[in-house]
Amino acid sequence: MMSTSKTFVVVLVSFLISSILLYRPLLVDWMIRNQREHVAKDKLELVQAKLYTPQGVSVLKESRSFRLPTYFSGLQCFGASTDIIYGTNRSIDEIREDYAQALTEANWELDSGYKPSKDYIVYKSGTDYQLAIDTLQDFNEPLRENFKEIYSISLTYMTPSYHGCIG
Amino acid sequence: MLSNIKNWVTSSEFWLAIVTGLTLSIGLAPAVYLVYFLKVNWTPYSITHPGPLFATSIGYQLWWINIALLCAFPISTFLLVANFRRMQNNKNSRLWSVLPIVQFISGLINIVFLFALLG
Repeated sequence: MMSTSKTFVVVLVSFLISSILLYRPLLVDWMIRNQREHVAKDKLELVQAKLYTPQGVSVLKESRSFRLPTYFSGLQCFGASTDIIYGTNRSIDEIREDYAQALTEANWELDSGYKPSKDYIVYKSGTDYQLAIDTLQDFNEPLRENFKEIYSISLTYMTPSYHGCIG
Repeated sequence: MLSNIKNWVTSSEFWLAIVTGLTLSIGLAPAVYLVYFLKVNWTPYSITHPGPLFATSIGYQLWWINIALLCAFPISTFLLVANFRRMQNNKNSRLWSVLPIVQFISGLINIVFLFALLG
């Protein structure tokens, strides 16, 4: 007959070994997510640090999101995006012109994958970065009252390529 | 020494302890997977969207291991317990008797979790 402590040790060892085998995909998935999230965050911050901000605008809200691959589905695409909502008392046409000039100087080009529009202008840099200027942004928080115009900037990093992942 | 180990490894209680460890990890696996996917914000786009483990090898493995937990595990555990109780009828042997029922019930409950995971 086995002692209770011996029985407990056998139960524990059996539980640990089978758990390692059964839960291994979870650990791998968790590691992949963490590693890709770091890469996406760094790549996004690299461009965001140099992102042009026109004079006379204030940041009202900023949010960041990630799109991460899963070990289970085998998806290769991953990336991150940041959405910044700005408020300004300048005219939106002036802001649009400032961006057009500054982004062109920084080697951004209009994304031909999008229909040209005054209210939603999309630029791209290489195949991984995309920047969208949305002047029809809804923003209904109290800060809204201090500004004549509201617009948003969405900066996205997606690899292997933006259009390959998003379409 | 060697015969002691041999006696220990061939005893029903040793195998019941192994089966208990396996039952614990297999019984908890679907719930652990589901909690993980909820934690990493896996959300179905619609009610018809497949689960995160749909058409994956680990999904199939979890399904068939759970079917074993529901059918093969309770039968083999019952045979081990019957043999153990034949050898000795004490408090421990009565405690092991609950194991096949626990295996069957957790196998049944896990089917619900597996439907959420496999979609």
